[in-house]
Amino acid sequence: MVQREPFADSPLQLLVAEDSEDDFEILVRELRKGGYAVSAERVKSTAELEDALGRAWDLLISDWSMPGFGGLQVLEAVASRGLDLACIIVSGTPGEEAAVEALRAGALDFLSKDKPRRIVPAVQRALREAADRRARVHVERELRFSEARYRTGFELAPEPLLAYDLDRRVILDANAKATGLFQCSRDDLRSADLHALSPHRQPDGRMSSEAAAHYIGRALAGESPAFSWLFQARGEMIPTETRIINLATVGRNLAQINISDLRERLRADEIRRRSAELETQNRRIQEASRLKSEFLANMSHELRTPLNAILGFAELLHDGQVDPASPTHKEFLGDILSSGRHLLQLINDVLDLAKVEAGKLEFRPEPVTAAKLVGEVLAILRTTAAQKQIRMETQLDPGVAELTVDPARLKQVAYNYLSNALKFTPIGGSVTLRVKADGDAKFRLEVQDTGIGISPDDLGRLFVEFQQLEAGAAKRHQGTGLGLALTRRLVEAQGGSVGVRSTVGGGSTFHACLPRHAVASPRTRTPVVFPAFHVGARTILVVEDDVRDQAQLVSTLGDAGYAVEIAGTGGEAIKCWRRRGYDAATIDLLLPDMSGLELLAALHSESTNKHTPIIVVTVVPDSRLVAGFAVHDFLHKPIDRESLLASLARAGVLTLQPEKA
Amino acid sequence: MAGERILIVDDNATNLKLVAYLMRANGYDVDTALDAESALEALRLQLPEVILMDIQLPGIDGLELTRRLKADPATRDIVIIAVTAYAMKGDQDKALAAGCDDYITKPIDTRGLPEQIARHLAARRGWS
Repeated sequence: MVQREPFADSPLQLLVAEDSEDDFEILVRELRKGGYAVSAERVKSTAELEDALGRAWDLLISDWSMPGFGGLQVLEAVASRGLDLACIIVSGTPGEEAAVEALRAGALDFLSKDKPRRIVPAVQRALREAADRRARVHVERELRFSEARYRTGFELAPEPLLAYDLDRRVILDANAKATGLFQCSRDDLRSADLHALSPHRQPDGRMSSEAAAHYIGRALAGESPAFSWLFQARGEMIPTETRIINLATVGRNLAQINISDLRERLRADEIRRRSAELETQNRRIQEASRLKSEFLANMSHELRTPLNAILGFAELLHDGQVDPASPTHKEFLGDILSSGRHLLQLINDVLDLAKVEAGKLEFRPEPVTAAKLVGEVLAILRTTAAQKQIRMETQLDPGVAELTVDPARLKQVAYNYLSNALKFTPIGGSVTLRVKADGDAKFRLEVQDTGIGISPDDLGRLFVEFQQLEAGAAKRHQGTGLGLALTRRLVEAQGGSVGVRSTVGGGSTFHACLPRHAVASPRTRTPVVFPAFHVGARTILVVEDDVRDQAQLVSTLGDAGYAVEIAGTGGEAIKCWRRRGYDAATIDLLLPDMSGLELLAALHSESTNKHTPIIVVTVVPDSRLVAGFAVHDFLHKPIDRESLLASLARAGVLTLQPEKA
Repeated sequence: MAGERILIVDDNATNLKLVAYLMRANGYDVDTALDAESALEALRLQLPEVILMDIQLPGIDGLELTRRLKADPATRDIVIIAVTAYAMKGDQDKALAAGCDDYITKPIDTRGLPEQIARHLAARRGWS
């Protein structure tokens, strides 16, 4: 295969068909003079030639006419063996016809013996041509092989493949998997473009034709973009991961498109997700069921304990086992009474707990002074404290002297904390009740004792129903085991929070934080969605805690063709705001759980609803309050229908439907 | 049966008072304990014929105390009756599995309890 040049390392393997010894010598001499190292052999007959052709040669030079055989037979012998051997014909009597005949039969050159000087250039040329031809044959063979390999790979590939012309934007070919995927023939696929095999729009909203053009553009720029793509075959959507691989062919922009069908994987994912969901749900139900059984068992235990004293003592008295005149008789009656009261307390706690749980507990806030309220609670517990010689102190911050709260519920919270503190504080200890400010909008009720304290392990269980049962020595202190759980729920239902700090042996401090001015009972635990009057209605979020104002806004907006969602507290409003987009929002500045300004700040800091116009609707007649906030409009209560709708119209939030008559 | 000793273990003082009164009225010598430690203390001083055992106790509970007493040759013959406000399915099995000889739920029957205890004591006398 190596192209032989003069002065090559190995000698030129030369076969000469020549009847004349002299001519052979001249030939070899000329070549050696021209710089070739020559290893030459001469044949004079067909038999000798046949024999020699069995070995490897670089070049064959043959005389045209020899006795018995000629150049033509030599060329034919070479051709019939399929040899890739460079042949030159020399002739003592050159003629045009013979030359044409020789070249046709495969000779690379035809020389006259008269001009021996021409032999070296001719040999050089012939060797070069032979080498070129060999190289060409090699390349062609490689190409054919490569193509066959590609075709096999393409056809038998485990995933759908398309051959694609990036310039003309048409599919050139498709493999078996691709025709299977699209459920059509190869001919149907040929000449089609990608978007013809796709739905009108991709899931992200882009037109398929535009999106496809984008990726093809990137492939043309030399990239091999990979992307999610939705195909469609016979009405069925086929989500895929698709990759356009630019094959960078010279002169023509061809690409291979690899498609990986995600349906199986998505189905498997969906099944996995669903079964995980079911499992979680199942665990949650089991846990709930376990807690419920535990609650019932504890309930039964807690009810039977005072009943045992009531029925037992009553039986003793009734059966005449106790002398009616004795002090024991009176003592037992006292035990029946206190056990009966305990039982009543337990039942009330359970009912309250159930009401809070169901969101049915009503709160009736009214203006009260902290001092009066605290005084009333202390009066109830004074005797108990005196019996244990416990010092009771109060510290009231004058800044939160005036509160708007449900007095009964706040007293209940204070009573629960104080009676707990008295229970767990040893004789001669002290209990301190504080009411102080907690930020601008809240106050904090705090009860500190010098009691036995609570280990860190138990802190987390404190506010959970019946957990007192687990609290070891604490059991000696009579209680329903519901007080703290109920306290937490009462406080949380009013938009507040509870907590405790404690060290074992160092006493505990329980606290409840509540809004200073509760406005109304936040009844709506989940936002109420008023019926969207028609699909695609503009949706307005109404943040309003007053029920009458809610009703008015709903009817005004609803009649005008808007869909309305209600949030009764700032907390709910923020949740709604995160969950979906709104076309506009109206916000009341007086809310039970946070100030209007806090809410505005919170809403502005969210990433959702960035451009949703906010209309402040309030009784506070001063728009400077909201200076610095991007508020679209500022409307006064009572709400005027016309100005509300006009304000929405100015914000560009128009109903899509004509007003109801 | 008069003069027989009974130990009442209950962490609820009112209930303890009730049962103690009832047993005294029926002629028993009564010891009381609010928890397992005081019960063990009382047992060191004098062994009773019967123990009325509340299950829910602070610290060592009634089941564990029963297991210990039934494992000790000195106390294993004492009749132990579980008296508990836990009345759910399975609570009785737990008490009997711990070694209690009987199981009654609160509220107790003040009229039937003395008889029930007497039956146990009679049976015990019968085969000892």
